Amino acid sequence: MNLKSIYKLGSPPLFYKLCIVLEPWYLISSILLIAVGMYGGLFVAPPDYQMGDAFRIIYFHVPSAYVSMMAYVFMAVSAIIGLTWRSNVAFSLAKSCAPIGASFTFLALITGMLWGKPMWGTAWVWDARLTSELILLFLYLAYIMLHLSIPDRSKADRATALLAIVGVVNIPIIHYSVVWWNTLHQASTISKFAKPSIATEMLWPLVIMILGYTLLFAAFLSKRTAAELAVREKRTRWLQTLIVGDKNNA
Amino acid sequence: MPEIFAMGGYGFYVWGSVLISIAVLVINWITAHKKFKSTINEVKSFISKDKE
Amino acid sequence: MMKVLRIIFLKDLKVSLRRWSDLLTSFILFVLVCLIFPLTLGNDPSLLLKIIGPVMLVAALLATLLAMQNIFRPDVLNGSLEQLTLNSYPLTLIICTKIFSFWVITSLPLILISGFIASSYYVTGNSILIVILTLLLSTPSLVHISALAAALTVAIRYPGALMALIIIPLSLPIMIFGAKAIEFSISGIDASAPLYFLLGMMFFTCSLGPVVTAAAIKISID
Repeated sequence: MNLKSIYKLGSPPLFYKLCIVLEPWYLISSILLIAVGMYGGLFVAPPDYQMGDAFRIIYFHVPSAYVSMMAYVFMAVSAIIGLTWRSNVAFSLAKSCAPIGASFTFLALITGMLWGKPMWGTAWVWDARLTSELILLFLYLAYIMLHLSIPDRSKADRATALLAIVGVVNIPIIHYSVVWWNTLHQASTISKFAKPSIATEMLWPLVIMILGYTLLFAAFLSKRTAAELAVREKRTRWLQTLIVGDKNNA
Repeated sequence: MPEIFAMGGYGFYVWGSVLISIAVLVINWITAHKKFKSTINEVKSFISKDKE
Repeated sequence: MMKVLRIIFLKDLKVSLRRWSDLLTSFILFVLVCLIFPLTLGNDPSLLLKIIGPVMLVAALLATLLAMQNIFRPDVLNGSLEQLTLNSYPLTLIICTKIFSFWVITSLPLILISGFIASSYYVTGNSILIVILTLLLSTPSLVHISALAAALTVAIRYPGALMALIIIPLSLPIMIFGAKAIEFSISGIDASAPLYFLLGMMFFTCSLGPVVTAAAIKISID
Protein backbone atom coordinates (compact mmCIF):
# COMPACT_ATOMS: atom_id res chain seq x y z
CA MET A 1 0.00 0.00 0.00
CA ASN A 2 1.95 3.03 -1.16
CA LEU A 3 0.89 6.63 -0.91
CA LYS A 4 -0.35 6.73 -4.48
CA SER A 5 -3.02 4.10 -3.92
CA ILE A 6 -4.27 6.01 -0.87
CA TYR A 7 -4.59 9.13 -3.01
CA LYS A 8 -6.50 7.10 -5.57
CA LEU A 9 -9.08 6.22 -2.91
CA GLY A 10 -9.88 9.90 -2.67
CA SER A 11 -11.15 9.98 -6.24
CA PRO A 12 -14.96 9.87 -6.29
CA PRO A 13 -15.39 7.47 -9.28
CA LEU A 14 -13.13 4.83 -7.76
CA PHE A 15 -14.64 5.16 -4.31
CA TYR A 16 -18.17 5.04 -5.69
CA LYS A 17 -17.45 1.84 -7.60
CA LEU A 18 -15.74 0.38 -4.53
CA CYS A 19 -18.82 1.10 -2.41
CA ILE A 20 -21.16 -0.47 -4.94
CA VAL A 21 -18.99 -3.58 -5.31
CA LEU A 22 -18.24 -4.10 -1.62
CA GLU A 23 -21.67 -3.36 -0.17
CA PRO A 24 -23.35 -6.76 -0.91
CA TRP A 25 -20.31 -8.64 0.41
CA TYR A 26 -20.34 -6.65 3.63
CA LEU A 27 -24.08 -7.21 3.95
CA ILE A 28 -24.00 -10.98 3.32
CA SER A 29 -21.03 -11.66 5.56
CA SER A 30 -22.46 -9.55 8.36
CA ILE A 31 -25.85 -11.30 8.16
CA LEU A 32 -24.09 -14.68 8.34
CA LEU A 33 -21.94 -13.60 11.28
CA ILE A 34 -24.89 -12.10 13.15
CA ALA A 35 -26.94 -15.25 12.58
CA VAL A 36 -24.14 -17.44 13.94
CA GLY A 37 -23.53 -15.04 16.82
CA MET A 38 -27.23 -14.93 17.69
CA TYR A 39 -27.46 -18.71 17.66
CA GLY A 40 -24.38 -18.95 19.86
CA GLY A 41 -25.49 -16.21 22.17
CA LEU A 42 -29.13 -17.16 22.57
CA PHE A 43 -28.94 -20.97 22.55
CA VAL A 44 -25.38 -22.26 23.03
CA ALA A 45 -23.91 -20.01 25.69
CA PRO A 46 -24.76 -21.16 29.24
CA PRO A 47 -26.76 -18.76 31.43
CA ASP A 48 -24.72 -16.49 33.68
CA TYR A 49 -24.55 -17.72 37.28
CA GLN A 50 -25.53 -14.27 38.59
CA MET A 51 -27.76 -12.74 35.97
CA GLY A 52 -29.32 -15.88 34.54
CA ASP A 53 -30.55 -15.61 30.98
CA ALA A 54 -30.84 -11.82 31.10
CA PHE A 55 -27.11 -11.57 30.41
CA ARG A 56 -27.83 -12.66 26.82
CA ILE A 57 -28.76 -9.04 26.09
CA ILE A 58 -25.00 -8.43 26.17
CA TYR A 59 -24.83 -9.91 22.64
CA PHE A 60 -26.93 -6.99 21.39
CA HIS A 61 -25.97 -4.24 23.79
CA VAL A 62 -22.17 -4.40 23.62
CA PRO A 63 -21.83 -4.63 19.80
CA SER A 64 -24.14 -1.68 19.21
CA ALA A 65 -22.41 0.38 21.90
CA TYR A 66 -19.06 -0.51 20.33
CA VAL A 67 -20.20 0.44 16.83
CA SER A 68 -21.79 3.67 18.07
CA MET A 69 -18.46 4.85 19.46
CA MET A 70 -16.39 3.53 16.57
CA ALA A 71 -18.70 5.35 14.14
CA TYR A 72 -18.10 8.66 15.91
CA VAL A 73 -14.33 8.21 15.81
CA PHE A 74 -14.58 7.19 12.15
CA MET A 75 -16.69 10.28 11.47
CA ALA A 76 -14.15 12.54 13.17
CA VAL A 77 -11.22 10.97 11.28
CA SER A 78 -13.06 11.42 7.97
CA ALA A 79 -13.80 14.99 9.02
CA ILE A 80 -10.10 15.67 9.64
CA ILE A 81 -9.17 14.15 6.27
CA GLY A 82 -11.93 16.15 4.61
CA LEU A 83 -10.78 19.42 6.17
CA THR A 84 -7.13 18.85 5.24
CA TRP A 85 -7.63 17.77 1.64
CA ARG A 86 -11.07 19.25 0.96
CA SER A 87 -12.05 15.78 -0.17
CA ASN A 88 -15.63 15.16 -1.23
CA VAL A 89 -15.23 11.45 -0.51
CA ALA A 90 -14.21 12.07 3.09
CA PHE A 91 -17.05 14.55 3.64
CA SER A 92 -19.59 12.11 2.19
CA LEU A 93 -18.26 9.39 4.49
CA ALA A 94 -18.50 11.67 7.54
CA LYS A 95 -22.01 12.81 6.66
CA SER A 96 -23.20 9.23 6.08
CA CYS A 97 -21.74 8.07 9.40
CA ALA A 98 -23.99 10.31 11.48
CA PRO A 99 -27.46 8.78 10.99
CA ILE A 100 -26.07 5.22 11.17
CA GLY A 101 -24.09 5.98 14.29
CA ALA A 102 -27.12 7.65 15.86
CA SER A 103 -29.26 4.58 15.21
CA PHE A 104 -26.66 2.27 16.77
CA THR A 105 -26.46 4.62 19.77
CA PHE A 106 -30.23 4.44 20.07
CA LEU A 107 -30.02 0.62 19.99
CA ALA A 108 -27.35 0.59 22.69
CA LEU A 109 -29.55 2.80 24.87
CA ILE A 110 -32.70 0.72 24.37
CA THR A 111 -30.98 -2.64 24.96
CA GLY A 112 -29.15 -1.16 27.94
CA MET A 113 -32.48 -0.10 29.42
CA LEU A 114 -34.02 -3.52 28.68
CA TRP A 115 -31.05 -5.05 30.49
CA GLY A 116 -31.25 -2.61 33.34
CA LYS A 117 -34.93 -3.16 34.04
CA PRO A 118 -34.58 -6.74 35.44
CA MET A 119 -31.07 -6.13 36.86
CA TRP A 120 -31.54 -2.82 38.66
CA GLY A 121 -35.31 -2.82 39.00
CA THR A 122 -35.67 0.33 36.91
CA ALA A 123 -34.76 1.00 33.32
CA TRP A 124 -32.65 4.05 34.06
CA VAL A 125 -30.34 4.59 37.02
CA TRP A 126 -28.04 7.31 35.64
CA ASP A 127 -25.29 4.77 35.32
CA ALA A 128 -22.14 6.32 33.88
CA ARG A 129 -21.83 4.41 30.63
CA LEU A 130 -25.48 4.60 29.65
CA THR A 131 -25.42 8.32 30.42
CA SER A 132 -22.36 8.78 28.20
CA GLU A 133 -24.19 6.88 25.49
CA LEU A 134 -27.10 9.31 25.82
CA ILE A 135 -24.72 12.26 25.50
CA LEU A 136 -23.24 10.58 22.42
CA LEU A 137 -26.74 10.47 20.93
CA PHE A 138 -27.06 14.21 21.49
CA LEU A 139 -23.66 14.81 19.88
CA TYR A 140 -24.85 12.86 16.81
CA LEU A 141 -28.12 14.82 16.76
CA ALA A 142 -26.24 18.12 16.97
CA TYR A 143 -24.11 17.04 14.01
CA ILE A 144 -27.15 16.03 11.96
CA MET A 145 -29.13 19.17 12.82
CA LEU A 146 -26.18 21.44 12.05
CA HIS A 147 -25.70 19.77 8.68
CA LEU A 148 -29.40 20.13 7.91
CA SER A 149 -29.62 23.78 8.83
CA ILE A 150 -26.68 25.18 6.84
CA PRO A 151 -27.91 25.55 3.25
CA ASP A 152 -24.50 25.79 1.56
CA ARG A 153 -23.23 22.20 1.32
CA SER A 154 -19.51 22.92 1.34
CA LYS A 155 -19.85 25.22 4.37
CA ALA A 156 -22.06 22.67 6.10
CA ASP A 157 -19.47 19.96 5.46
CA ARG A 158 -16.65 21.95 6.98
CA ALA A 159 -18.60 23.38 9.92
CA THR A 160 -19.89 19.95 10.92
CA ALA A 161 -16.39 18.54 10.48
CA LEU A 162 -15.18 20.99 13.13
CA LEU A 163 -18.04 19.94 15.39
CA ALA A 164 -17.17 16.27 14.95
CA ILE A 165 -13.53 16.94 15.85
CA VAL A 166 -14.45 18.98 18.93
CA GLY A 167 -16.89 16.24 19.91
CA VAL A 168 -14.33 13.47 19.64
CA VAL A 169 -11.90 15.44 21.82
CA ASN A 170 -14.67 15.98 24.35
CA ILE A 171 -16.05 12.43 24.52
CA PRO A 172 -13.33 11.10 26.88
CA ILE A 173 -13.61 14.19 29.09
CA ILE A 174 -17.40 13.85 29.25
CA HIS A 175 -17.13 10.12 29.88
CA TYR A 176 -14.68 10.42 32.75
CA SER A 177 -16.50 13.30 34.37
CA VAL A 178 -19.68 11.22 34.30
CA VAL A 179 -17.81 8.20 35.68
CA TRP A 180 -16.26 10.29 38.42
CA TRP A 181 -19.66 11.64 39.29
CA ASN A 182 -21.44 8.33 39.67
CA THR A 183 -21.10 4.72 38.64
CA LEU A 184 -23.04 1.51 39.03
CA HIS A 185 -22.19 -0.29 35.80
CA GLN A 186 -20.32 -3.59 35.92
CA ALA A 187 -16.67 -3.48 34.92
CA SER A 188 -15.72 -3.95 31.31
CA THR A 189 -16.06 -7.60 30.33
CA ILE A 190 -14.11 -7.96 27.13
CA SER A 191 -11.06 -5.70 27.28
CA LYS A 192 -9.27 -8.03 29.69
CA PHE A 193 -8.06 -10.52 27.10
CA ALA A 194 -5.09 -11.52 29.24
CA LYS A 195 -7.32 -13.11 31.83
CA PRO A 196 -10.81 -13.39 30.37
CA SER A 197 -13.42 -12.87 33.01
CA ILE A 198 -16.07 -14.71 30.98
CA ALA A 199 -16.10 -18.30 29.73
CA THR A 200 -15.07 -19.07 26.14
CA GLU A 201 -18.49 -20.36 25.12
CA MET A 202 -19.86 -17.02 26.30
CA LEU A 203 -17.06 -15.01 24.68
CA TRP A 204 -16.98 -16.27 21.09
CA PRO A 205 -20.58 -15.29 20.21
CA LEU A 206 -19.82 -11.82 21.54
CA VAL A 207 -16.72 -11.44 19.37
CA ILE A 208 -18.66 -12.71 16.35
CA MET A 209 -21.54 -10.33 17.04
CA ILE A 210 -19.13 -7.39 17.30
CA LEU A 211 -17.55 -8.38 13.99
CA GLY A 212 -20.96 -8.79 12.39
CA TYR A 213 -22.18 -5.42 13.62
CA THR A 214 -18.99 -3.74 12.37
CA LEU A 215 -19.46 -5.27 8.91
CA LEU A 216 -23.11 -4.26 8.94
CA PHE A 217 -22.01 -0.71 9.72
CA ALA A 218 -19.63 -0.92 6.76
CA ALA A 219 -22.49 -2.11 4.54
CA PHE A 220 -24.83 0.74 5.57
CA LEU A 221 -21.99 3.20 5.27
CA SER A 222 -21.05 2.17 1.72
CA LYS A 223 -24.68 2.33 0.60
CA ARG A 224 -25.21 5.80 2.06
CA THR A 225 -21.82 7.10 0.91
CA ALA A 226 -22.52 5.91 -2.63
CA ALA A 227 -25.83 7.77 -2.58
CA GLU A 228 -24.21 10.89 -1.13
CA LEU A 229 -21.43 10.81 -3.73
CA ALA A 230 -23.98 10.37 -6.51
CA VAL A 231 -25.82 13.51 -5.39
CA ARG A 232 -22.63 15.51 -5.23
CA GLU A 233 -21.20 14.32 -8.54
CA LYS A 234 -24.38 14.31 -10.61
CA ARG A 235 -22.92 16.78 -13.07
CA THR A 236 -19.89 14.63 -13.85
CA ARG A 237 -19.57 12.46 -16.91
CA TRP A 238 -18.33 9.34 -15.12
CA LEU A 239 -21.41 9.05 -12.97
CA GLN A 240 -23.80 9.74 -15.82
CA THR A 241 -22.21 7.06 -18.01
CA LEU A 242 -22.21 4.64 -15.07
CA ILE A 243 -25.91 5.14 -14.40
CA VAL A 244 -27.07 5.30 -18.00
CA GLY A 245 -24.99 2.19 -18.63
CA ASP A 246 -26.89 0.51 -15.82
CA LYS A 247 -30.15 1.39 -17.51
CA ASN A 248 -29.00 0.00 -20.85
CA ASN A 249 -28.07 -3.29 -19.26
CA ALA A 250 -31.40 -3.61 -17.53
CA MET B 1 -39.05 -25.16 23.30
CA PRO B 2 -41.16 -23.02 25.69
CA GLU B 3 -38.26 -22.67 28.12
CA ILE B 4 -36.20 -21.12 25.33
CA PHE B 5 -38.83 -18.41 24.94
CA ALA B 6 -39.14 -17.98 28.68
CA MET B 7 -35.37 -17.37 29.08
CA GLY B 8 -35.57 -18.11 32.78
CA GLY B 9 -38.22 -15.47 33.32
CA TYR B 10 -36.33 -12.80 31.37
CA GLY B 11 -37.97 -13.68 28.04
CA PHE B 12 -39.58 -10.28 27.55
CA TYR B 13 -36.30 -8.42 27.99
CA VAL B 14 -34.11 -10.79 25.98
CA TRP B 15 -36.49 -11.27 23.07
CA GLY B 16 -37.50 -7.62 23.26
CA SER B 17 -33.93 -6.51 22.69
CA VAL B 18 -33.50 -9.11 19.94
CA LEU B 19 -36.58 -7.85 18.12
CA ILE B 20 -35.74 -4.18 18.58
CA SER B 21 -32.19 -4.72 17.37
CA ILE B 22 -33.34 -6.56 14.27
CA ALA B 23 -36.08 -3.98 13.59
CA VAL B 24 -33.74 -1.00 13.87
CA LEU B 25 -31.07 -2.63 11.73
CA VAL B 26 -33.58 -3.59 9.03
CA ILE B 27 -35.09 -0.11 9.03
CA ASN B 28 -31.58 1.28 8.76
CA TRP B 29 -30.90 -0.84 5.70
CA ILE B 30 -34.23 0.07 4.11
CA THR B 31 -33.67 3.81 4.55
CA ALA B 32 -30.13 3.54 3.14
CA HIS B 33 -31.46 1.57 0.18
CA LYS B 34 -34.32 4.00 -0.42
CA LYS B 35 -31.93 6.93 -0.29
CA PHE B 36 -29.67 5.25 -2.82
CA LYS B 37 -32.58 4.45 -5.15
CA SER B 38 -34.00 7.97 -4.97
CA THR B 39 -30.63 9.57 -5.69
CA ILE B 40 -30.13 7.32 -8.70
CA ASN B 41 -33.55 8.39 -9.98
CA GLU B 42 -32.67 12.00 -9.27
CA VAL B 43 -29.47 11.71 -11.29
CA LYS B 44 -31.40 10.00 -14.12
CA SER B 45 -33.95 12.78 -14.30
CA PHE B 46 -31.09 15.27 -14.16
CA ILE B 47 -29.47 13.57 -17.15
CA SER B 48 -32.66 13.53 -19.22
CA LYS B 49 -33.22 17.19 -18.42
CA ASP B 50 -29.65 17.89 -19.44
CA LYS B 51 -30.17 16.27 -22.84
CA GLU B 52 -33.22 18.31 -23.73
CA MET C 1 -0.60 44.70 17.47
CA MET C 2 -1.68 45.35 21.05
CA LYS C 3 -3.14 48.63 19.90
CA VAL C 4 -5.35 46.92 17.33
CA LEU C 5 -6.55 44.39 19.86
CA ARG C 6 -7.30 47.15 22.33
CA ILE C 7 -9.31 49.02 19.71
CA ILE C 8 -11.32 45.88 18.92
CA PHE C 9 -11.86 45.24 22.61
CA LEU C 10 -13.09 48.76 23.29
CA LYS C 11 -15.22 48.80 20.14
CA ASP C 12 -16.93 45.56 21.15
CA LEU C 13 -17.54 46.88 24.65
CA LYS C 14 -19.02 50.05 23.23
CA VAL C 15 -21.22 48.32 20.68
CA SER C 16 -22.56 45.86 23.19
CA LEU C 17 -23.21 48.59 25.72
CA ARG C 18 -25.23 50.34 23.06
CA ARG C 19 -27.29 47.16 22.71
CA TRP C 20 -27.67 47.14 26.48
CA SER C 21 -31.20 45.72 26.37
CA ASP C 22 -29.85 42.37 25.08
CA LEU C 23 -27.33 42.21 27.88
CA LEU C 24 -29.87 43.21 30.48
CA THR C 25 -32.17 40.46 29.23
CA SER C 26 -29.57 37.78 29.77
CA PHE C 27 -28.72 39.18 33.18
CA ILE C 28 -32.39 39.19 34.15
CA LEU C 29 -32.72 35.63 32.86
CA PHE C 30 -29.93 34.58 35.23
CA VAL C 31 -31.64 36.21 38.21
CA LEU C 32 -35.07 34.86 37.26
CA VAL C 33 -33.88 31.27 36.83
CA CYS C 34 -32.26 31.52 40.25
CA LEU C 35 -35.53 32.93 41.65
CA ILE C 36 -37.85 30.25 40.28
CA PHE C 37 -36.51 27.50 42.52
CA PRO C 38 -36.98 29.10 45.95
CA LEU C 39 -40.42 30.31 44.84
CA THR C 40 -41.60 26.94 43.60
CA LEU C 41 -39.82 24.63 46.05
CA GLY C 42 -40.56 26.64 49.16
CA ASN C 43 -37.91 28.17 51.38
CA ASP C 44 -36.57 25.06 53.06
CA PRO C 45 -32.86 25.89 53.64
CA SER C 46 -31.58 22.31 53.44
CA LEU C 47 -33.29 21.78 50.08
CA LEU C 48 -32.06 25.09 48.67
CA LEU C 49 -28.51 24.39 49.82
CA LYS C 50 -28.68 21.09 47.97
CA ILE C 51 -29.76 22.57 44.63
CA ILE C 52 -27.84 25.85 44.53
CA GLY C 53 -24.85 24.40 42.63
CA PRO C 54 -26.77 23.03 39.63
CA VAL C 55 -29.16 26.00 39.63
CA MET C 56 -26.30 28.52 39.53
CA LEU C 57 -24.56 26.73 36.67
CA VAL C 58 -27.69 26.11 34.62
CA ALA C 59 -28.65 29.77 35.01
CA ALA C 60 -25.16 30.86 33.96
CA LEU C 61 -25.28 28.52 30.95
CA LEU C 62 -28.66 29.85 29.82
CA ALA C 63 -27.61 33.46 30.27
CA THR C 64 -24.39 32.85 28.33
CA LEU C 65 -26.28 31.07 25.58
CA LEU C 66 -28.74 33.92 25.24
CA ALA C 67 -26.09 36.62 25.24
CA MET C 68 -23.66 34.87 22.91
CA GLN C 69 -26.15 34.21 20.12
CA ASN C 70 -25.19 37.54 18.62
CA ILE C 71 -21.45 37.65 19.17
CA PHE C 72 -20.49 37.20 15.51
CA ARG C 73 -23.73 37.55 13.56
CA PRO C 74 -23.92 41.37 13.24
CA ASP C 75 -20.23 41.58 12.31
CA VAL C 76 -20.66 38.88 9.66
CA LEU C 77 -23.73 40.56 8.20
CA ASN C 78 -22.18 44.02 7.91
CA GLY C 79 -18.94 42.59 6.59
CA SER C 80 -16.63 43.92 9.28
CA LEU C 81 -15.54 40.42 10.30
CA GLU C 82 -14.54 39.73 6.72
CA GLN C 83 -12.40 42.87 6.79
CA LEU C 84 -10.75 41.59 9.94
CA THR C 85 -9.88 38.28 8.30
CA LEU C 86 -8.31 40.10 5.35
CA ASN C 87 -5.73 42.07 7.29
CA SER C 88 -2.46 40.67 8.51
CA TYR C 89 -3.38 40.24 12.15
CA PRO C 90 -4.03 36.64 13.23
CA LEU C 91 -7.76 35.98 13.38
CA THR C 92 -7.33 33.80 16.46
CA LEU C 93 -6.12 36.75 18.54
CA ILE C 94 -8.93 38.95 17.28
CA ILE C 95 -11.49 36.27 18.18
CA CYS C 96 -9.82 35.92 21.57
CA THR C 97 -10.24 39.65 22.19
CA LYS C 98 -13.85 39.57 21.07
CA ILE C 99 -14.65 36.66 23.37
CA PHE C 100 -12.88 38.35 26.26
CA SER C 101 -14.87 41.54 25.82
CA PHE C 102 -18.08 39.50 25.70
CA TRP C 103 -17.03 37.70 28.86
CA VAL C 104 -16.49 41.03 30.60
CA ILE C 105 -19.91 42.27 29.56
CA THR C 106 -22.01 39.15 30.03
CA SER C 107 -20.33 37.09 32.73
CA LEU C 108 -18.82 39.60 35.12
CA PRO C 109 -22.24 40.94 36.21
CA LEU C 110 -23.38 37.38 36.88
CA ILE C 111 -20.31 36.71 38.98
CA LEU C 112 -20.81 39.94 40.90
CA ILE C 113 -24.42 39.18 41.76
CA SER C 114 -23.91 35.45 42.41
CA GLY C 115 -22.73 36.22 45.94
CA PHE C 116 -26.04 37.87 46.80
CA ILE C 117 -28.05 35.07 45.21
CA ALA C 118 -26.00 32.52 47.13
CA SER C 119 -26.73 34.25 50.40
CA SER C 120 -30.44 34.27 49.53
CA TYR C 121 -30.11 30.49 49.18
CA TYR C 122 -28.88 30.46 52.84
CA VAL C 123 -25.25 29.86 51.86
CA THR C 124 -22.96 31.31 54.53
CA GLY C 125 -19.32 32.11 55.19
CA ASN C 126 -16.58 30.72 52.97
CA SER C 127 -18.99 28.91 50.70
CA ILE C 128 -20.15 32.20 49.20
CA LEU C 129 -16.59 32.79 48.09
CA ILE C 130 -16.46 29.29 46.63
CA VAL C 131 -19.68 29.97 44.68
CA ILE C 132 -18.17 33.14 43.24
CA LEU C 133 -14.89 31.37 42.49
CA THR C 134 -16.72 28.51 40.77
CA LEU C 135 -18.56 30.90 38.49
CA LEU C 136 -15.34 32.83 37.89
CA LEU C 137 -13.59 29.63 36.74
CA SER C 138 -16.46 28.08 34.80
CA THR C 139 -17.86 31.06 32.87
CA PRO C 140 -14.74 31.47 30.66
CA SER C 141 -15.13 27.87 29.48
CA LEU C 142 -18.86 28.34 28.94
CA VAL C 143 -18.24 31.53 26.98
CA HIS C 144 -15.65 29.85 24.76
CA ILE C 145 -17.90 26.87 24.05
CA SER C 146 -20.81 29.20 23.28
CA ALA C 147 -18.60 31.26 21.00
CA LEU C 148 -17.69 28.14 19.07
CA ALA C 149 -21.35 27.18 18.73
CA ALA C 150 -22.18 30.74 17.64
CA ALA C 151 -19.44 30.64 15.02
CA LEU C 152 -20.66 27.29 13.68
CA THR C 153 -24.25 28.48 13.43
CA VAL C 154 -23.50 31.98 12.20
CA ALA C 155 -25.20 31.34 8.85
CA ILE C 156 -28.46 30.28 10.49
CA ARG C 157 -31.22 32.76 11.13
CA TYR C 158 -32.49 31.58 14.51
CA PRO C 159 -29.60 29.61 15.98
CA GLY C 160 -30.80 29.45 19.60
CA ALA C 161 -32.10 25.89 19.84
CA LEU C 162 -29.33 24.42 17.72
CA MET C 163 -26.73 26.27 19.81
CA ALA C 164 -28.23 24.75 22.94
CA LEU C 165 -28.01 21.30 21.37
CA ILE C 166 -24.32 21.87 20.63
CA ILE C 167 -23.37 23.62 23.86
CA ILE C 168 -25.05 21.49 26.52
CA PRO C 169 -23.30 18.16 25.77
CA LEU C 170 -19.94 19.88 25.38
CA SER C 171 -20.22 21.87 28.60
CA LEU C 172 -21.41 18.92 30.68
CA PRO C 173 -18.02 18.34 32.40
CA ILE C 174 -17.95 21.98 33.51
CA MET C 175 -21.49 21.73 34.86
CA ILE C 176 -20.72 18.52 36.75
CA PHE C 177 -17.52 19.74 38.35
CA GLY C 178 -18.87 23.22 39.04
CA ALA C 179 -21.88 21.77 40.85
CA LYS C 180 -19.55 19.40 42.73
CA ALA C 181 -17.34 22.27 43.88
CA ILE C 182 -20.28 24.18 45.34
CA GLU C 183 -21.77 21.04 46.88
CA PHE C 184 -18.44 20.10 48.48
CA SER C 185 -17.85 23.48 50.03
CA ILE C 186 -21.40 23.64 51.43
CA SER C 187 -21.12 20.20 53.02
CA GLY C 188 -17.75 21.13 54.48
CA ILE C 189 -15.48 19.04 52.25
CA ASP C 190 -12.35 20.48 50.66
CA ALA C 191 -13.51 21.77 47.26
CA SER C 192 -10.08 22.26 45.71
CA ALA C 193 -10.15 19.12 43.51
CA PRO C 194 -13.16 20.12 41.37
CA LEU C 195 -11.88 23.71 41.32
CA TYR C 196 -8.55 22.52 39.95
CA PHE C 197 -10.45 20.60 37.29
CA LEU C 198 -12.41 23.74 36.38
CA LEU C 199 -9.14 25.67 36.20
CA GLY C 200 -7.70 23.03 33.88
CA MET C 201 -10.79 23.12 31.68
CA MET C 202 -10.56 26.90 31.62
CA PHE C 203 -6.96 26.78 30.31
CA PHE C 204 -7.94 24.05 27.85
CA THR C 205 -10.88 25.93 26.37
CA CYS C 206 -9.17 29.33 26.44
CA SER C 207 -6.14 28.02 24.55
CA LEU C 208 -7.86 25.80 21.98
CA GLY C 209 -11.30 27.43 21.80
CA PRO C 210 -10.31 30.59 19.88
CA VAL C 211 -8.33 28.51 17.35
CA VAL C 212 -11.35 26.34 16.52
CA THR C 213 -13.70 29.32 16.60
CA ALA C 214 -11.46 31.20 14.18
CA ALA C 215 -11.49 28.18 11.87
CA ALA C 216 -15.29 28.08 12.05
CA ILE C 217 -15.50 31.80 11.24
CA LYS C 218 -13.20 31.36 8.26
CA ILE C 219 -15.43 28.56 6.98
CA SER C 220 -18.60 30.59 7.22
CA ILE C 221 -17.09 33.68 5.61
CA ASP C 222 -15.45 32.38 2.45
